[in-house]
Amino acid sequence: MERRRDAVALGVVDVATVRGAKRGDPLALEVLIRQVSPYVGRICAAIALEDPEDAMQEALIAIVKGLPSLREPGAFKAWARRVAVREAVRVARRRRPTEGIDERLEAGDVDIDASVDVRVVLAAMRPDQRAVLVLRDLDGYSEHDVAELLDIPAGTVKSRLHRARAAFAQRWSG
Amino acid sequence: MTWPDAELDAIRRLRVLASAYPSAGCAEVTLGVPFDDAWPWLMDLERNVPRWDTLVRRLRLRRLPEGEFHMWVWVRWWPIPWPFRVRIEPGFCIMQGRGRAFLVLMAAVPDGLGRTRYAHAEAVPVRRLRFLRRPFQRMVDADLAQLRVVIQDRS
Repeated sequence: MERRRDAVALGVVDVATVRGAKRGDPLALEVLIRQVSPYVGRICAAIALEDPEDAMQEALIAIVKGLPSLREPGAFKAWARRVAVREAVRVARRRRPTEGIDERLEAGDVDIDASVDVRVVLAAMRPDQRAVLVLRDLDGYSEHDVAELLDIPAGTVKSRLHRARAAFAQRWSG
Repeated sequence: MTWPDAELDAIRRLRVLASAYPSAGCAEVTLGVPFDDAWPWLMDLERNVPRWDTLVRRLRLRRLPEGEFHMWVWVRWWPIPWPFRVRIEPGFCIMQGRGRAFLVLMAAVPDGLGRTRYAHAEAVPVRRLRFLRRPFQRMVDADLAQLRVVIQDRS
């Protein structure tokens, strides 16, 4: 599988906006939501496949509610990412498992063309596996950083990543 | 390969922003007119807000640079107008009263079959004052009930 090294841009989130939003200024908070939304949306869509908009909304609500507890406005990006991944995994786990990929392929509701259908492969993984893959391959984090962000051992990150990439490679070659 | 993506529509954006303020009263309603008709009507603030907002007697707007407006609002029980800063974009409007005294959020999205889903929130934009949520909620509920009737009967 081709590894993506171009990390997803968070967009321009300036510290003054974070400070204003942290103080509860609605206009600053509205700007912050707009700035961080594309990034949170990509995290949530890749982890909470069945309910991406719900996951995104809940992640952003957790971010705006938790903002007063953020001590250092400069650390907003890392903190927002952690919250978004946590909420996306929570929303994805809440949903009952959907039918298997094979059934969906047979039913013809999956569009597989020459390129790999990322969504199909992601759907075959558990939410926590998707979270590892998103942070490592979509966001460009090191395995060490991913382990810290998700609060799991580095060995677990390595094994989940291995399985996730193998799933991609299998689908790609198949 | 393309990764999945998600977007926050205007109504979800309103819900997210309102969630920051415990005093916020929020409500949503389906309007029986298309978005392209409903949103310009809703954003004709001076003419139409006093017709459905139970608190507002009169509004005056002045355009500022960068798409913002300065707005004066006369409420029914107070003779002096209150100044607001207003930002409007398609489907979303935020109005913040001077001194963080009041916040109004308006959002709308097309709801298929010629209808519009409209959401409205009002709050005191500070991170406390939860006890104000109930009166705000009653006020917003009454406003949206009135809006639904007025926008349908406006012709």
